Parts: sequence; structure tokens; C-alpha cells
Amino acid sequence: MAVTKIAWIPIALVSLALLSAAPQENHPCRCHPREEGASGSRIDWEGYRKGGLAWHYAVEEALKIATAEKKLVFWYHVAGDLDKEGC
Amino acid sequence: MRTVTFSDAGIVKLLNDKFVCAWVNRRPDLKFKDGLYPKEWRPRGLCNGTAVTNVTAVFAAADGTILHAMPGYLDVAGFKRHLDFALKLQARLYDPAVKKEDRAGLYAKAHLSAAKEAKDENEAEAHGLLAPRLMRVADFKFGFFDGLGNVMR
Repeated sequence: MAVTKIAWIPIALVSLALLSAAPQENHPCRCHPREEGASGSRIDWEGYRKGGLAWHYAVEEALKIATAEKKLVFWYHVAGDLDKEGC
Repeated sequence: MRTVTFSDAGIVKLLNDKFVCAWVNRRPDLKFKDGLYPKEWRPRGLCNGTAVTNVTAVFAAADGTILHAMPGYLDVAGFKRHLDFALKLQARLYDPAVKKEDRAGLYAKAHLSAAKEAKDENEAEAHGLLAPRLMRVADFKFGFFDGLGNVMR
């Protein structure tokens, strides 16, 4: 009986490890390639966060938040690989 | 924009306080092999709406109605001016005393008036293009301002 109880420990550890290995964004500072017209995901581009500006979600999500918080939406459109330079 | 306008404390506070910010890259596949600008180009400071840029700022009400949009680089003062325009227009259009069917007319009037008072030609033309079209965010195409010369598409 004691052995059975101890056996749960490695099972729990393995389960925790699997949970913590959930997919994560692999573009910490890059524009994520997307199809034409697709809405942007969270932007983790440090250059754009320099001033503390919070870039959040795709525009559809932004509209929902704006409705709830009684705000407007600023929707910034860019074109191209901006990792080199550009606005 | 990122190193100047979006790094300005006043702009950041205004955007975070009054707006929810979202972004979209319309052409992530577009590569700037040698940089965005020609090597021989010697910047003298970008003026508002500089056509060689590849960005457009869009301001929308929470219901998805586009209040204002402006292509190109905007300095702090320019961006603030357009933010204020959007905020004032939103307050005007969504005044409880204003009927929904009257919004398009008020929107057009505001943009035409702004076109007359615009600081530069690019800004005036942008207001002129927007005036007859009260759009939803789903209707806004990145090519909307193509006529103004945003060439980096």
C-alpha cells in the first residue's frame, strides 16, 4: 500500500512537467508571419514597448476590451519585415 | 514611430488611458534587404505622413466604426493632433443627443473641415479620402491610402 502511495509522486511530477511544456510563443521579438489581412497577435517587440505602451490583442479582441472599458481602439498597421528598421 | 512617438511619455499615457492598442502586419513577407531607405538617402528628419514609410494609424470607436486614419510617420505633435481629433469626433458622434443616422454626416463634416485646416498636403488628402466613407474596421484595407504614395507595400 505504501509503495502504491509513493508511486503517485513520479506520476504527479511527470504530469506537472507535461503541463508546463505547453506551447509557448516562439517569437519573443519578431513580427510573426501571418497571412495578408490577418490580425496581429500579441507584440513582444521590445522596441515598441520601450515607452511602456501596452500592445495587446488582435483588433477584434481590442474592440471587446474597448467596449468593456469604454475606450477607443488604436489599430496600428505596418507592412514588411520591421526587424531591420522602419517605423 | 517606435523610437520617437511611441516612446514619448505623454503619448504612451494617452494611448494607455484612452485607447486599447492593437496591431497588424499586412505584409510580413516584405523584406527590406538593404534597409528601408536607400543608402544614399540622408534623412533631414521625417515630416508627418512621409510617404516612404510603411505604416498607417487607425483610430476606431469601440463599436468598430473607424473615426480617423492617417498613413505614414507621425511625430509626437502630429500623432497627438490626430489622437485628439479621433477623441473629439468620438465624443461628438456618440453624444446621446446625436441620432445614429446623423453620424455619417457629422463624420464627413469633421473630416472636410480638418482637411481645410491640415498641416500638410498628405494630411489634407487623407482627411479628404476619409470624409465620404464612414467605415468599419473590417472594411478598412491597407491600400486605402495608396493614392497618397505609401510605396512600401
